[in-house]
Amino acid sequence: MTALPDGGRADAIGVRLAGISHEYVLDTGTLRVLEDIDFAVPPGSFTALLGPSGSGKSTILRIVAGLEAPSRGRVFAGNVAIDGPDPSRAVVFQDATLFPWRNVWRNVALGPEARGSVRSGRAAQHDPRIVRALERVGLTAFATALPHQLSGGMAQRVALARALIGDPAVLLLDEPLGKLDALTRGVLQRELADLWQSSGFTALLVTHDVDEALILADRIIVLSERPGRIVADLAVNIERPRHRTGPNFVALRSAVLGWLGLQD
Amino acid sequence: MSSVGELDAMPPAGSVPSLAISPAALEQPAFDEQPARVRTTVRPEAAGYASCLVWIAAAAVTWRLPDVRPLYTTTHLAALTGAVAAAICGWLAAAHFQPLLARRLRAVAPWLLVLGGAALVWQFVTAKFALLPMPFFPPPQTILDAYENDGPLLLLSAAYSLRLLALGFTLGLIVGFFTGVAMGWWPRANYWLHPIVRTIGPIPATAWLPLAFVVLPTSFTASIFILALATWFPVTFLTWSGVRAVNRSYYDVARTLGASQWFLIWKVAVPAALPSIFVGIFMGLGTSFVTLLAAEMLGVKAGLGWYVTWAQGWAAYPKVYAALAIMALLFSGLISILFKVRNRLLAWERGSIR
Repeated sequence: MTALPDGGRADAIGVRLAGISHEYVLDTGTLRVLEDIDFAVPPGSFTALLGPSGSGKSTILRIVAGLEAPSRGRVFAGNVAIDGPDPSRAVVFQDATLFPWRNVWRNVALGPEARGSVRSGRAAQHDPRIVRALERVGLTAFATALPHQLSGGMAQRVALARALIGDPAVLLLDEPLGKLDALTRGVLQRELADLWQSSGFTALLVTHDVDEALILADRIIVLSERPGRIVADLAVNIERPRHRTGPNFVALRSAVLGWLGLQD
Repeated sequence: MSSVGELDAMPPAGSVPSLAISPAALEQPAFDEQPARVRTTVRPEAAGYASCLVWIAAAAVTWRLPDVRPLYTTTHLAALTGAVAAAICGWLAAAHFQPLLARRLRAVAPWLLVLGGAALVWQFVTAKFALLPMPFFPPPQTILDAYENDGPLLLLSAAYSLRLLALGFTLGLIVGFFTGVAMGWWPRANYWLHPIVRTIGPIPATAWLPLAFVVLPTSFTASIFILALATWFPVTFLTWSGVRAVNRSYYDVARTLGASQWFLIWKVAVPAALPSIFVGIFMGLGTSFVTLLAAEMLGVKAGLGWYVTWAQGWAAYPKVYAALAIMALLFSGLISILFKVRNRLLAWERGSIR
């Protein structure tokens, strides 16, 4: 653990979306997925994007990651306009998407290797960054296991280590726990909160799990159905570690469900 | 919104964070455990004894039963058959003390038995009673004779074939691989190369033989070109389709980690396409065998294809069989080597397809 005291970090940067609209061109016409998305994520904060399927929340994440350019509007990381992917903005996807031909540590080493800061040889296994990244997610014993030998939760931990090894300023989480069983999900939510607190990165989480957003985020942005618009922007002022049964938690949960149109 | 329903079913606050058990212990690793080998003394079964007996019988028949026509190598063949019999019977004896040898013997004994039976039958129907028409079904003695008298020429031919195959196949493999990667990666390369691959590729490489021998300076280079062409098409096609089929999200992951285009090609696209590329290499090796024999029938002075054509011209069928046997060993050996390479490089694939 390289715990920075209180998670504060000097190089933390925020993310700002200014007037983002996005549409996909299909054979049958254009599909508007986002309309006038405008919000800023302060440095070091944890923001959750919540919305029904098809609300374009994953598209927002892909735009911030630089994997897609918005049809209109601009995105900034700090003061710099985003025009492509950058290792300072790491992504954890819903599927772990580990490279099946690489064992665990080689998957974790992917980022440093791609940036040329670690050799692909066997010696790199003992590179302190890789050792530490595996320690952080508790997978030291599985360094040489192949992805198909891992359970879903372990695979997602490897993906997390792979994203965090470059010490990114921004971590983008695209429903990273969406496919896990409830128990593993609960454990990993807790670990994710710890990692955020100790590493001090800016986090943007996409989820459709209201409790997950409430457990992890300082702030919840609720999106409408397609085309996605911001319908609510709620601060989550609950003391950590959070419990699902606390009075604030329960009250906020019904508020969020109300904004999602799920409360009678 | 089914997930909201699930939320109610989640355990209450106190129970999930009870992390007395380490998180790692909560998740069962999916390691496949090797089934423990049962360590018992395996008795060699009937097939072992039977094959020992059958090979002794084959040796005895070859040696003692008179040939219909005098054959020079009958005693040599009898000695050879006897040596095989001795080896099998020795193995059988040793198997009584060594469980490992016993297990190995049990695995191959049925085949040893069938082969011994075949050797016996072959003696009866050719050398001893001449039940099959000559010269198309020669006795094994005459094939042994071919090896004894034509050994150097056969070895030279094998070496020539191997050289031609190595040069042509390697050239086709390299060019095919790069053509396929380029087509799979750059749309512009695909635009220009795809029609060419589609039209030229399906033409059997041997069809170009007459042209190649005229256009290229020597028959040797012409043969190499034809072999390379035969290998190139399947390797190109399967490399291309393998690269095209790579899961797009691998690229997303690599790009967010700061990968350059070269990294995306060599560390993402190519390894991900490798299973498909190997299918292409296997197909290429197969077509190159066919093409090798055709190319060697023209314009070479040694080579297994040339030897077969030459021997057939003299109606020397035992020599044809002798060359065919060498081909069988050589080609299946090459396939085995390729399998070994494949299994090594694609070890990660084992168990990942469920």
